[in-house]
Amino acid sequence: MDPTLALALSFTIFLLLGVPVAISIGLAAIITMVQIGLPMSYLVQTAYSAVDEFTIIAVPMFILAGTLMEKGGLTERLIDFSKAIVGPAPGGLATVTIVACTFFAAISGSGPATAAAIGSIMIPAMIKDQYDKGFAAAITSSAGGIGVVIPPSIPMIIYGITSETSITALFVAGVIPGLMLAFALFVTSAFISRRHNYRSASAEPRSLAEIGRAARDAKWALFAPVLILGGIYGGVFTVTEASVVAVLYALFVGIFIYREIKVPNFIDSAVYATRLTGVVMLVLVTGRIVGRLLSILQIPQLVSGFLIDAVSNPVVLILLILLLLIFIGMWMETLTQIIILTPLLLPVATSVGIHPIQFGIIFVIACEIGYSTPPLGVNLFVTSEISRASVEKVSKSSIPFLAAEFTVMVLVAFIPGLTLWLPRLLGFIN
Amino acid sequence: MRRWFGGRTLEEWIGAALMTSVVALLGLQVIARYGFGRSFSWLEEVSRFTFVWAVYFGFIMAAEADRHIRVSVQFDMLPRGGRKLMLTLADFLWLAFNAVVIWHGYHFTISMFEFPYISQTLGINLVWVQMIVPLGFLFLSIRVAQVMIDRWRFDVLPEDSRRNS
Repeated sequence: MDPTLALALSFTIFLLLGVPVAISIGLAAIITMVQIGLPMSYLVQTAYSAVDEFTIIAVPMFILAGTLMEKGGLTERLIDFSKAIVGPAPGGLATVTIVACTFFAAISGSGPATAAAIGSIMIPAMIKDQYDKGFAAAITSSAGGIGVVIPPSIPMIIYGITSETSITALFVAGVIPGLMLAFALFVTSAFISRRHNYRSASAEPRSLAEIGRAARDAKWALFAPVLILGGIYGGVFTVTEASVVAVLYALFVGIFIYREIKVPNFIDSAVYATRLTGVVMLVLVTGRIVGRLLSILQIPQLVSGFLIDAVSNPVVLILLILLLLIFIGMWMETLTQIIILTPLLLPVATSVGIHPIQFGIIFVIACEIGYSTPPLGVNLFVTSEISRASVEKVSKSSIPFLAAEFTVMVLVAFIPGLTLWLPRLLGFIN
Repeated sequence: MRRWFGGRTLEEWIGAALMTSVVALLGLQVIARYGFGRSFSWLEEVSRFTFVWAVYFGFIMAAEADRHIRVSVQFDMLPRGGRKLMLTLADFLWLAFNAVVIWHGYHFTISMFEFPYISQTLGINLVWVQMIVPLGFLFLSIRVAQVMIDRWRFDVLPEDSRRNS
């Protein structure tokens, strides 16, 4: 059998049998390696070298920092600050959710973590003020996804490593699309809120004094993104150093200022971050091996050649890539999707003039949408659990938000300046 | 499953301790560089090596909790017993993969004792770090086997492992 066909077929069979994704990739790789006569010691070497990489240390560090900041009492203060800015406008609490998620996104690198942190406070608050349960869960699910588009972002780190592009440039490029997503969600939610007349009796009128007071209360939380992102953008820290600084900062604030982090919840966070890293890295290890096999077999060239021949119109091809990313994102876990698909689709994207950095952001937005699409949308599960609305109901209420996000994704795909202008301005790409 | 003191498994203690060490080592490096303008080149290597071990313990921790991502929608229509049967078959394939890694990892390790590969700044034979590959997959296999047994003994199916990234 043709080695490519054997690779794809055996991978699919193992996957359907219920073998973990990482191991399915590994087993398929072994079969192909035997077929093309590659020594097995390569498997062992990659199992080591894929992990022994300085940049990847940023992944557990950002997970740890996010968990510590959540446990350390920063979430409540960010929400209070967002409430003070938004005031009593229609759909105010929905807007607070979006603003708070956007702030939290600048600290956390994860979508589900953002949805869980903000949602656990905002969803009950919205339901108490007579918002529809499905709507409350849906807006949190979508806004939580912004966590991966606004830096720091774990999917961006994985994309940067897989595609060998600058993670710093990706972190800069995500800012404008991230804010656009927040704005698109705000417009959609304000429209729906006005129609259903969602209001909060509890919201206090907005005043400068009140905003100032809330900002002072939240100053330690608000300073975190300044330190982490400012440090990276200013060229002071590498991404890995910034991730360590984020952990140290979270520990400092949690232990000495808010005094909510104690030894037991630190151990909880460390265990959680290490286990999650184990899950991610096992896929990365075997994904590395397959990535190498694919390039030996020249599959990426084959795929892009086929797609370019089949679809001659670049606009149609770009739209096809977007739909493909979203469709696969409905079924596959985010980081796995990035590790497997980047080597296959990046050459196609660059052939129609999409910059690798721009493609990374498009990919991350697809992941963001994937968090809120059934059947495997993680944020849907998180928010449906908090709101006690069924996953079906939350999915249905998510449709307008997903449409808004898809619009932003299309804009990002067709207007390179949205992603490339800022990193160029700051000199991270030429 | 056997719990160690504090209601945690041995690999959880070791993994968390190693990851905390990575934070401490890199924190030291950052503070030394930006606070005192000093840099220690060996720190980067030590933290990288510690990280490799931490990740391998992370593999084991995730296996012990049955959290490694699987595609399982296709099992939704199967009865519980059928699901357990499929997962058992799948885990035998997992053990087969581990066996290949352990076997070749063992020989690779032996060859590295004969032909040492010296690390750049620490000057140690990398085999002491690299050894975690066969060792880690060996411990991993023990946990996988335990999960397989517990699945039948206590009727547990994998938790939702989709809440990951």
